[in-house]
Order: sequence, then structure tokens, then C-alpha cells
Amino acid sequence: MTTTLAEMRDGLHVSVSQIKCYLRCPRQYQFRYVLGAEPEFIPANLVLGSAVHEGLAAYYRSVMATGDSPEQDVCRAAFYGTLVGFRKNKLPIKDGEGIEAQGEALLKVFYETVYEDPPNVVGVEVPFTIDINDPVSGEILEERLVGALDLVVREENKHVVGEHKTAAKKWSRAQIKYDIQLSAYKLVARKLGLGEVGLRLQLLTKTKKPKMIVENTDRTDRDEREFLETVVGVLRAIDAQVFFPIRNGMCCGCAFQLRCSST
Amino acid sequence: MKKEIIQILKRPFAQELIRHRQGHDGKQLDYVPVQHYVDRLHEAFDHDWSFELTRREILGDQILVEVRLTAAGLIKTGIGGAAITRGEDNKTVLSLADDIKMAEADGLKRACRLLGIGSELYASEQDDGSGVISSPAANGNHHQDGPHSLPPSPLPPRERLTSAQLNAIKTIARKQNLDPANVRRQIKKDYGVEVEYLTKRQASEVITDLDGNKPSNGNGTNGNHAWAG
Repeated sequence: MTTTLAEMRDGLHVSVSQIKCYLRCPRQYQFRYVLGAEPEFIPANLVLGSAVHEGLAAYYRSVMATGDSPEQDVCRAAFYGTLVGFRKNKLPIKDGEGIEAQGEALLKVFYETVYEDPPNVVGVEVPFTIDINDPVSGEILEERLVGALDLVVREENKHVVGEHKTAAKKWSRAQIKYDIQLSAYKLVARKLGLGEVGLRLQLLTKTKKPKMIVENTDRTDRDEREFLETVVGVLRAIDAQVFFPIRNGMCCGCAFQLRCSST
Repeated sequence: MKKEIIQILKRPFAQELIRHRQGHDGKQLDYVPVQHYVDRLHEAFDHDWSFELTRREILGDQILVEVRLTAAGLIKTGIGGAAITRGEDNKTVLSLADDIKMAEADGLKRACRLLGIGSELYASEQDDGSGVISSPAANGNHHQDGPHSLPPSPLPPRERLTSAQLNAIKTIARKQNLDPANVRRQIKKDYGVEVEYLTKRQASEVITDLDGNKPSNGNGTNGNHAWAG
């Protein structure tokens, strides 16, 4: 019997998104996950990113099932299905007027890039749950790392794990090199028995003229160890209730800004 | 963990159980055979414990293992190692099975140390079995001496609830046909945090309270909580 992501999340766990949230702003983490505070709105970036993500997943699921690229409408249907779900939410979407047009443009550039040569897809949104080992003490933490691999494809004699992202602009070399999501994927893939996998970032840029940028990258043992150090460090800080605010330009897009300002 | 169990675990080994061997650097090292660690686990947990091998690798001439020890709801991991013993020709492997058993025993001892057993023997981080390799990096990545390796800072004991406590809360609520959303809401109301961020003490309170909330109550209330919403 296959365990679903929802079932994996039922136990004490942490996700890479949660770790990233803490690293961006510990206080935002506190509001969102510890206190379970209701957000003031849903950021448009979150809606667009999630909906496009679903569009891409729908494309790859179809490729996995048929071996061929589906019509672009498969992506669009998944995109709009997700969007409708967000629109039905009682919370408003902040700055959400242009989401449909932006999403259409991103899906179009994605589809045009991939449809002629669909990959050999072996997994889409592959759920995982793994132990978290403290790399210093060797102890296994109470929390498990839970998430899903966006995409797993087979190329020649190895698997390649892909991450989909939408971003305002092209990522820098350092961003690609140090993205902890990809470090997690490398670690997870090995634990899932996929062996030494390749890593691929598929970035859709929300620039005036949207682009799809594909970057192949890798992680070393040291990167994996540092990723675990980060995860363990964040979990220890959460346990010690370290929730300080970080003020920067991202505050105006934060869904807890009023609450935070009045704290 | 009960105080008396902790006392059993932390009780130093009797002097007559301690054996000695020469270390790689010529110093005398103290060790206690693994059977005495096993006996101590039996005594502390009344035979209700287990351990499993979670990883085994052969790196050059060394066997590296990772074992997981589970007892009283706690999980401790130990990394163990042993050198592959070869014959006089320096080629023939004499008994790989024995070498692996030695590595597993080393891993179990190290996991036991995290429970407090035999910690007096590790005061200087010595190895404790013949043929045992020097302590490898905890995750087997051998970066312990890398420029990024910083000494671990002393850590306060964990406050947050355990995985077993979270599961217990959810299981008891399910058995009592309580709406999970109501239980979550009530916990948030009473403690100001989501159930996953209760402290151990708070989680114990919730478990005790839920346990006393028999389904026959009808209104789903007990103590200070209104579990049925």
C-alpha cells in the first residue's frame, strides 16, 4: 500500500518549505506554523507558483502515462483548477489581477520548450519521508523530513530529479549552488534507492518575456551534510522558541504583516 | 523516562567486567563486552527493546554500520566500525561475518552510550573493541576534520513533544470518535499553539485528559477541555 503525502504529514515532521520559511523570517514561521495564525491574505506569488506547478505536474503525469506530450490544455486545465480552488478561499488574493495572463504565458513557454522531446518520466510529485540524522551526534531526530520530489526522469543510465520554480528573474549561480531544496532531493533520492541522481532546476521566469531556464547541477556529500546541519539547527531553534523578526523588503508581501507590526 | 530506569542505565559497569586492550597509539583502552550492554538493556527495559541495522557499508578495509536502538519510545542511533581482518598473506579475509558482528556490536554500544550505558568508558572518546576503527563521522561522510567542522555546542534538553506523543494524541482522539479539527482547535485555545508545538509536559496533560474522556461521556468534555468542540 502506498503512503500518501497527507498521511506522511500526519506524524511529527518538517518540510523544506518550512525550513526555508524559518530561514527567511523566524517570526513568520511562528505565526504560520506554531501559532497557526490566519494569514491576512494569500500572496499572488504563492497562487501563481502553485497553479503553474500543478500545470507542469499534469503535463508530466500525462507523459508518464502515454510516453508522449499531451495537448497544452492538459496543463491549462490543471492550472485553472488550482486557481479556482484559491479563488474560492475566503481569504483575498493580494495583487492577484494578472495571475491568469501570467500563468498562461508561463505555461506556454514551458510547453513550447518541452513538448517536442518529452522526457522518460518515472515519477511526478513523488512523496517521501526520511529520517533526519544529526550529522554531529548521529542521533535521529523525532521529526521526519517529508515532502515530494517534483519530477523524476530517467536519462541514459541514471535518474535525474527535477525541481520546478517560478521566479521574478533568473537565479544566480550561488542560488542554484546553494538551494537547499535540491540538496534535500539529492539526499532523499539516495535514501529512496534511486542511487546517485542528477539534479535539474527548471525555472520559469516571470519577466516581461517569460523564459524557461534549465540548469543541471549537483550536490556533494558536504552539501548534504550542511543541509542536515541546517535542518537540525532550525529544529533546535524552534524547540528553544527562537522566533525573532527579520525586517526587509519581503515584509510588504508577508501575509502576517499587520499582526507582526502590532506585536 | 522513569527515574529508576535512568539509574539502571547510568550505573557504571562493575570493575570486574571491564577488559583492556592496547589501542592503535599504544595506550591501554578499557572496554566492556557487548553482552553486558545487552544485559543492561534487558534489565532497564524488561526485555522490551529492539535494535536494527539501518546501514552497512564497506569502505576500503573498514566496515561501517549504523544501528538504531529503540526503547521506551526513544530512538538512538549508533555508528560502529571494524577493520576487516586478513590472514598472514594480508589478502585472505579470515571471517567477514565476525568483522561485521564486531562493527554491529560497536554501533550498539555507541547507541547505548546515548542512553547513558557505559558512558564512563567513553570519557576520552576511546574505542572499546579490538579491531574497531576510530570514531567515524556520524553520518559516514568523513568530513569530521573538514574546515567547516565546528565543535558542537552544548544543547539544552528537547522541550517539544515527541513523535510518540503526537501519535498518541491523534490515536486516542480517533478511538474516541472525536473530530480531529475540534481537538486541534481546543489545544490551540488551551495552549496557544498548534498540537505539533506542544511541550512534552503539555502533551502529557493532553494525553491524560483525552484518555479520561470516555466516548460514553457523550458531551466529549473532561477536565478543562471540551474535546468535542
